[in-house]
Amino acid sequence: MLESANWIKVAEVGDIEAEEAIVYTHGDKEIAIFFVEDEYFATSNVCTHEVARLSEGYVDGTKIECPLHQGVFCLRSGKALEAPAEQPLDTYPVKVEDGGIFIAV
Amino acid sequence: MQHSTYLIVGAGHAGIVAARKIRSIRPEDSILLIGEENMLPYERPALSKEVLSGHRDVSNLVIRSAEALESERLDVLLDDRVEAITPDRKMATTKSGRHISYEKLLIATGSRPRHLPLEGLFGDRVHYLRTASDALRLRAHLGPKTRLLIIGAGFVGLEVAATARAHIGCDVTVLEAGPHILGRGAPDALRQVLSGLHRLSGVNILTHTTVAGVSEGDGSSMAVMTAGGAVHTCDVILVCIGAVPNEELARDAGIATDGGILTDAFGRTDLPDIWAAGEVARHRVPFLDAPVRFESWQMAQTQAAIVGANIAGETRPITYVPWFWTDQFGHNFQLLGELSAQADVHVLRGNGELQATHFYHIGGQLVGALCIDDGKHVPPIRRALEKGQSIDLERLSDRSTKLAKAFL
Repeated sequence: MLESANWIKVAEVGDIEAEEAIVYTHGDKEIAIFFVEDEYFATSNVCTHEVARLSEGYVDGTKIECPLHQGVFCLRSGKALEAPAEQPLDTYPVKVEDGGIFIAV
Repeated sequence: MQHSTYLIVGAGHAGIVAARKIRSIRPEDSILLIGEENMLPYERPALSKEVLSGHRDVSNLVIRSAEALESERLDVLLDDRVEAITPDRKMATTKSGRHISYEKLLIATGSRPRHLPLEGLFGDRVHYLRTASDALRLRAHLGPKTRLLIIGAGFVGLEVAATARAHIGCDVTVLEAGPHILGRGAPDALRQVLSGLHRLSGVNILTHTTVAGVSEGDGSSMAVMTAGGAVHTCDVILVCIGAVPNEELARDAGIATDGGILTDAFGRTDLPDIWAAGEVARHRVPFLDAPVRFESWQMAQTQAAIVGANIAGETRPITYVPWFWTDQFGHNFQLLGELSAQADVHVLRGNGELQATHFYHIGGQLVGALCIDDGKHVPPIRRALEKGQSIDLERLSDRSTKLAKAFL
């Protein structure tokens, strides 16, 4: 299924600093791409609790803490780990190829 | 007579958090929550903001759906109220006449708005804000140009003022009896920024202004007289002069209360098998000499989870870094730790219009912080406060330094 997915190049390797994120807008979707422990993760950029940008949050290992009300999500699975977050984040596959970072949406 | 191993009086945020914690430790025991509102347990912070502005439906505030509660086998009895507790018989009696026996009882009855003696005089034109139905009722009375008069410039009053002004277009006046906004526990820097935002947006805040009386005005308006002799004509009054703990049920059952239900460092009251959590509890914490009762989301979440674990058999002292947030005019303000007026304050500004983190130090020790549109700094500061770390102010002068790396 992923083979036929729509891979989009969102950045070059090196564009995202460690424990930081960039934002890629695809249609009405705002997607954050995080670089953590030599891995890339792509999730919805908008917290499922209230409107807040997770790309402006605090990265702790593979967890992201929302800057607004400190809900915590798993970057890998999107799962809500700590209140007030309850609903999971959408996540997107990421691959690195020829020095580019691609996500499947 | 009905029986529940764990009976939780109050089906609010604290009640459901404690119930879920108990369930995680006691997979088999029966757990029943009883609440007087007609809504499943929900979070209250949005009531003064997104609910009032119409951007969020109250159904969206519910913490666990009916299906989720059922799957966790958490029983919730709504629209009823525990009216008496008989500790000797380990029994509670509800308004509807139910008798429920328990093994362990948790009182999480929260608090209610302090009232002014205006009851019944002005019908539905005088409002309080605590519940979802209060928020919906207030919203139904506000529209563009509605003259809204708010009594009390605390956090709730100011949040409503901001929402009513920015999102609904009301003409808003706030009367505050004290010398400044946010009378209790707010740092000067926060008062200054918020005063400025309200002033810029056209909210009229009057401090040193005590209400002397209210009378009928022209049409459906009301006239609010101040002690100084001024008259403010308005269409809607919102009274936000603080909250009082719902401790009467406990007091009448013989449980020690003193501006809240008194508990030890684990959440126990002075009667066996009766515990208290959330805003109604005045609990002991390691970092203060006197027992404290805070009114905040954190009490319903963090403190209630600890008490829930303890009532289920664990032994964890209640502790946390005090944390509070307010959202006004699209800006986010977070307060951590102790923001003492005696502290030395070091400000790290960001790129945003108001973005900044204020670090509070006493004797070189970090004691608290105010983060304005700077929530990214909250987790590392919270951890530093938990560990008693201080901050290397030199390293902070360059904002590109990761905050976590500047802790000593």
